[in-house]
Amino acid sequence: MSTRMSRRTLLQGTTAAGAVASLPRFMTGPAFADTAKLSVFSPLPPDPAPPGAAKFSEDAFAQWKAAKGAEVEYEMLAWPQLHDRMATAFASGSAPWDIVYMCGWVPELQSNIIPYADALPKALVDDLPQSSFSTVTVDGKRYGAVFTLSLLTLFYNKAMLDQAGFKAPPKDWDELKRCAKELTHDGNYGFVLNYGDPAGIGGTASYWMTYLQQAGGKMYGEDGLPVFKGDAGVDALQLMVDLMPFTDPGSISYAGINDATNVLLAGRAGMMMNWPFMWNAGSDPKQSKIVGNLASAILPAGPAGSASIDGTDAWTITKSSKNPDKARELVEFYLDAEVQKRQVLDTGWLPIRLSVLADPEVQAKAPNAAVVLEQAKHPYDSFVTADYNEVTVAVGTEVQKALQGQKTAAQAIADAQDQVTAIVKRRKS
Amino acid sequence: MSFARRQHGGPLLRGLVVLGLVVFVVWSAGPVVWLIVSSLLEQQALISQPPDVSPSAFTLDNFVQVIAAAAALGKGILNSLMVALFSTAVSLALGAPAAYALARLPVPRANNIAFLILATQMLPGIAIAIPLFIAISKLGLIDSVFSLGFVYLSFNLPIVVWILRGFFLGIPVGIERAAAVDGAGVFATFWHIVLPISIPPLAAAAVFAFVEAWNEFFFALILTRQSAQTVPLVIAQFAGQYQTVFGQMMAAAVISVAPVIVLAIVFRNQIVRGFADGMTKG
Repeated sequence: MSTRMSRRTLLQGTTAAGAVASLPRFMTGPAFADTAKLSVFSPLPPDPAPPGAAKFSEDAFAQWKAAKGAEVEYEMLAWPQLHDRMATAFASGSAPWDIVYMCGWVPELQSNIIPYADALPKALVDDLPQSSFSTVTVDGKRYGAVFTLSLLTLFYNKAMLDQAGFKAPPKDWDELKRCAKELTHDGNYGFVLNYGDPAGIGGTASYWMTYLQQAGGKMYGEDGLPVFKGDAGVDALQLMVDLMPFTDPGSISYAGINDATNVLLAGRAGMMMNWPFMWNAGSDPKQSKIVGNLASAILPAGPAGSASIDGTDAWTITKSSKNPDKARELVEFYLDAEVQKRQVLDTGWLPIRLSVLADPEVQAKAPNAAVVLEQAKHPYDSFVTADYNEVTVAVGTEVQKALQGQKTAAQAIADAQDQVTAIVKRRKS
Repeated sequence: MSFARRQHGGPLLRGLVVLGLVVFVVWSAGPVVWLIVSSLLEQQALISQPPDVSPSAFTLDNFVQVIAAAAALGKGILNSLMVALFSTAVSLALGAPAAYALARLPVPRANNIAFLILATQMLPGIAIAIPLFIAISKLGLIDSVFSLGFVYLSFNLPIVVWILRGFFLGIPVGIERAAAVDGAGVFATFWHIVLPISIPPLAAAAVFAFVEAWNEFFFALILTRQSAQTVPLVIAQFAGQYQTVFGQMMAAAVISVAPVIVLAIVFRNQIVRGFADGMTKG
């Protein structure tokens, strides 16, 4: 059969093709043309990761995707590298994600994300600690939702405290100092922490901010300028200085909390401040020499009571997202009560929902959940701002100088306030 | 002339030389040995003070677990090989003629050009990170081993030009004049005379470029996503926010460093001669 192409058939063919091309998408597209593709930028497990990235609620996740007609792609990276990749992508205007994990970076990267959390269902919001929104709120708008309650609490080696005659963990600063002193002997130390890196949440400055709140102080006044150069700021730093003779000497150089954690888990230190996830490592015989002796309590009270800081692990939605509503629905799924319960039972990361934290099954599996819940009744402001990194470098460096005896606590705090004032004024000008 | 026959000192001097060499070897090899030992220890043994190196603390578990999750590491090694080989090969192919031209041909202001080439290396990486990211993103080449290879090429090429230019300047001019007398043109002289006697410095420059590309972290971090991740990124994944799996990290490092060690062993003679020639002639 001849299939010779004449000009007429060519014209007819192209006309037909043009007509098909001009039809509405729903008539020409595949059956799942409306499938929403979502890209999520997340830490790698065992750091906090969502269902499908970490091994929990996988069936529920598959059902959610099928019900919503959504495809979800995870881009995962080791936690220490998250910020740099994210900041570079945002700065270049080429962020390819719909949902991104944040850890205290919301004020810094606020111009790249949307304030979706105001649209979360009321029942969900009512079940979250209201203070959990403080680190994701800028100018009164909520840009994220924290998905795990991660507050600093006191972790201690019960056997060491028992041997030193302490039947209970220290409840205030005086007891903390006395306990640390008694535990320091034969190459062991009463306290350990990582003071090697001044910056960020979990850096030297943030530990001082914890004590600052316990002393009744705060970082900024109503006008946004620093107000910590008072008795509270100095007392907080003086406590850290007073603890130094009983603090593992490596603490001044440990850059990450992992290093300090290892000292406690090796049985070489009696106490430390740490995040809830440490409970998993401390209960694992492959990683810990103090299995069965690890315990936690709320942080010892200063003149104003106990206080902590927030790890602020939160989900945010990018401005560049093509499916912001579907992305918000995915965050709601991450915060679903059953998913939150599986999160703690299967991965050890505590939930953020108060109802799940109070669940007896959860408290049996994660005995430190009750402690964290109790800690959450006290202040836990991380004082994150758009210039948080710059501020914590300035404050943390001064704190380090005091800890090494190069400055008095009062001088270090005065110098830190001068530097932070300059940083804030520069931002505002 | 052998080393032994050149010794004029007595046993004391020889002893000091040997002692110095032993200290140097221990100093240089110590970290590598500790890397291998750490990869064979349990986490608990590693966090003990001092580390527990009793026979019972040794295990192959770290390697078993790293190999069990080998997809990421295997892909990382493959990506690193492609990136490193590409940037090394192209930097040699372009760098050798460029270096020869700057060393021998009547290029106006050749020295200034050479310093300009070196000056490109003085910009800190962070200063060009965002413009580079934007350019590569606009080209749709984020997460591509070839874009990473091109970026590494821009770092390696100037170094290769400098290493080889120093060597070419040290070659006696008479050799090339003799070739010219025999009728060889510039390219024939370069190809048939200069390159064959330049194998050691070429090998040294190649190893330098390969190792630079193999170890680079920062640009690999910002220019890749999942599919083009290189070895340093895969190894960094063992260090999290709250937990660092030291044993597995070391095991992955041992596996990933193997190709570089093999390369160094295969080309050890050329590397030594190349750097020695560079020192005496450059």
